[in-house]
Amino acid sequence: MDFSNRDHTKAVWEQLENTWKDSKKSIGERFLGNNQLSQNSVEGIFDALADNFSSIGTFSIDKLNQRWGDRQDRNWVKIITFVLAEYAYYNTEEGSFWEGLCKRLKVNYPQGMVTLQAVLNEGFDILGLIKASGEHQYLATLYLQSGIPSQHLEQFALFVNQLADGLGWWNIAYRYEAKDLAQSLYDYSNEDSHGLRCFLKNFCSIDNENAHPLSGEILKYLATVALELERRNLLSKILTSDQDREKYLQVLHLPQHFFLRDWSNLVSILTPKRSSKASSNSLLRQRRRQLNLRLDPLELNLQLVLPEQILWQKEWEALNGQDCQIAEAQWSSTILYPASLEIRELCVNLSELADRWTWNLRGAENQVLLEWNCEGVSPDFPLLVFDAETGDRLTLNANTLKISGISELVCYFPTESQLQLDNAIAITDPHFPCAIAGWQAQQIRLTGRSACFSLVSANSTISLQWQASGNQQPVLRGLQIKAKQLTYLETPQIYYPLGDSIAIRIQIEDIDRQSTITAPDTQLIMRATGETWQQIDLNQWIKKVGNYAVKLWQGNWHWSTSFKIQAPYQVVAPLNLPHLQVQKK
Amino acid sequence: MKYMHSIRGCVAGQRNKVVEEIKKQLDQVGFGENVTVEIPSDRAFKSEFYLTLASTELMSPVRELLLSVSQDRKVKIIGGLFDRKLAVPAKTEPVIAPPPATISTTKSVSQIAKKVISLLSNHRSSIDPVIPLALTKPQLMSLLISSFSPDYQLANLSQELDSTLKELESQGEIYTDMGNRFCISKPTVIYEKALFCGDRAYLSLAHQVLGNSSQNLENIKLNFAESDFEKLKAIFLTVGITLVQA
Repeated sequence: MDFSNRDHTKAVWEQLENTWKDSKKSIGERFLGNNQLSQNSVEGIFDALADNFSSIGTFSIDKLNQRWGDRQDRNWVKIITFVLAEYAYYNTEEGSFWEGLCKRLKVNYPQGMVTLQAVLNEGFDILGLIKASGEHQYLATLYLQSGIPSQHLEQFALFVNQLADGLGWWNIAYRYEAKDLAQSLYDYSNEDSHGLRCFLKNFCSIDNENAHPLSGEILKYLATVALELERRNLLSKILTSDQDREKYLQVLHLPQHFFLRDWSNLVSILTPKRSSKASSNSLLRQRRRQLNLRLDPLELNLQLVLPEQILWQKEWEALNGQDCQIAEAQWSSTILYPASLEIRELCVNLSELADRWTWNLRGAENQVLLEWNCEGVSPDFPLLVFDAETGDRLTLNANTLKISGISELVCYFPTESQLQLDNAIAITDPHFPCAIAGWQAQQIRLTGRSACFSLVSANSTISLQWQASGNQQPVLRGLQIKAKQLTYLETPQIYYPLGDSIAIRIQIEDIDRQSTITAPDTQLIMRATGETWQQIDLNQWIKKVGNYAVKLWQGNWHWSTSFKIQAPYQVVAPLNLPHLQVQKK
Repeated sequence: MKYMHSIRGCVAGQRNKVVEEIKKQLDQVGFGENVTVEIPSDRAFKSEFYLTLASTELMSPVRELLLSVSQDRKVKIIGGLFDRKLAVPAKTEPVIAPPPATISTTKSVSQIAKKVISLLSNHRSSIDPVIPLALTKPQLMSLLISSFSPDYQLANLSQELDSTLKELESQGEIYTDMGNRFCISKPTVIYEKALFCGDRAYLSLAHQVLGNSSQNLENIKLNFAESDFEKLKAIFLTVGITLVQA
């Protein structure tokens, strides 16, 4: 193989492309790992690649372009991307992925890594691959192409099995966040499985808050498959054959960004597994969750909220039996090592703002055991913006001045400044309650597709762009009350934006009873009638109060929501009153 | 109905022992499945437990049983059956389907007025649900908008809401709180008309103390068996409802 010979390079790529099953899929949904290339062929191409690089001198992207060109087809970029994804799948080297890769290709590290990442950056796009995001996006995207690296499959299946025995598939699929699951999988791995442990660490937020929890997503995907098998009374061995598996998985609602190349180790563990909430909670080591600023949608206060969390640290062994406290929230407890420290949600209403808030967990001698921080308002960006419906704070700063997908906002700003709005924004409340001295608040609503608004003060102006959500999506409508989660007093209805006639799939989960209400493969026919919306009446499935999750999907499109239905509040009579005899006549 | 109780004066871990004792005694008396005891799964509730009764007739005997256990164990059990408290809606309760507009026995109340009353009666703090909270007009607007189909004509909604709020205030159903917020009125019964108005969380109770078990949460017309104002007033007062003369 010689990349300087364009025809030859083209022929090599065409051979590779023939083995790649996903090449016909839509852009952004292709997995390179869905191919039929043997490990030996990969090794061969890899050696050829090393030869090609050795002839190039300085290994930089400019040099590669200069030498191999091919502006039109970029076949060498495609080949390198393809082979690197295969390398990631078959790699058995321990230690740093990039160092090992550079060594194998006989190029300098870290210069070689930078160059290869530049090639991948282009390759991922021109091949239309599914991509991961976050700090280690190149590595995560390479791994994503095949799911789990080949050498770790057996061990991975073992951990998944243990974790699922404890947590139950239902909780994995619907109750826990992918981030927590990624962390738990990492916790389950031990030093004996060093390679897998390193692999799993990439997806945890231990060192990197923005890590993409790929391993947690894979676990959720497997849980969904296991639950569906159980619901349809099927045995997991039908997943052994590639053809049957593809046919079966096609009809399920599964995350689009997932593909598992080799199912042989996992097939045997996808058996029914259930677990109660209480026992599973103790198994799941939860992440430390950050302190955040929120608008309480009920009482309209600004408040600092420390989310519910379960904490454990080895160093606390020495503190067993001692008191600890979070003075900022007037919370205290006792460390009972080795049990975890459980902190329920803590809220403190604010009457003044700061540029940063810090809460500490302190031990009996006032030493700091843990610290939580929340960014406040800086003097050069005196504006706080919240989603009026949920009360969530929007992260805005001098670099992020765009808001999208939210229809109503509450803005807090100093009394001496002013909000200037364009025509596509209506003020819904000019005097939104504000308990912060020297500040005021307004509630505003986007009436058009996009708009601009500015905060004008004596010596500065901050301008923001505001856009409605992109495509028309279904909406949920019903009599709801303000609460921290979406809460209805009646069964809400879905309104689906009509376009062409289409059949969509629907699945409804009853979260409290851990069951799926809709029958397998329930489809709804949406007929183009000239109306803008078609109502989907959820009363036909949901007949009781409780917590529900609804999914709609068709092909690559999917939409989901979850909500609670609550019975109206009712006061209950005291018992010890004589007049109650009246009701017994 | 499900009632939450709290045990005062218990040290860590004692709650479960007290609950065990209650279960044991309930079994001995033979309540069977009519009375169930449950420990909240939320760990924030360390001294609480739930009691679920199949019938209100069981309240009295169960309360006596709780009293005797609490005396034996030297703790105090509060809340639930000992207190007038908002019951947690039981998980298995059916959804109250929105009834057709004609079901109300009073003069036809507009759809918006009904929604406003329902919103204000159910807008309560999750920590202390006894006191209803206030909502601003913009909040009511967005809650109303999200209850209509997306193609509902919104042009006149703001005015309709304004006039509805005025009308409800004049009927004594709601009042304007500080900062132009709206709040549901305290539960009140108008003597001459035998009509209930204000906080709907008390409506079923109003029927109950009169000996009627109306489960229809929209029926505000009461059925007085007793006609003496003072006697009725005393009856309603015991459950926190005020009887007034028009």
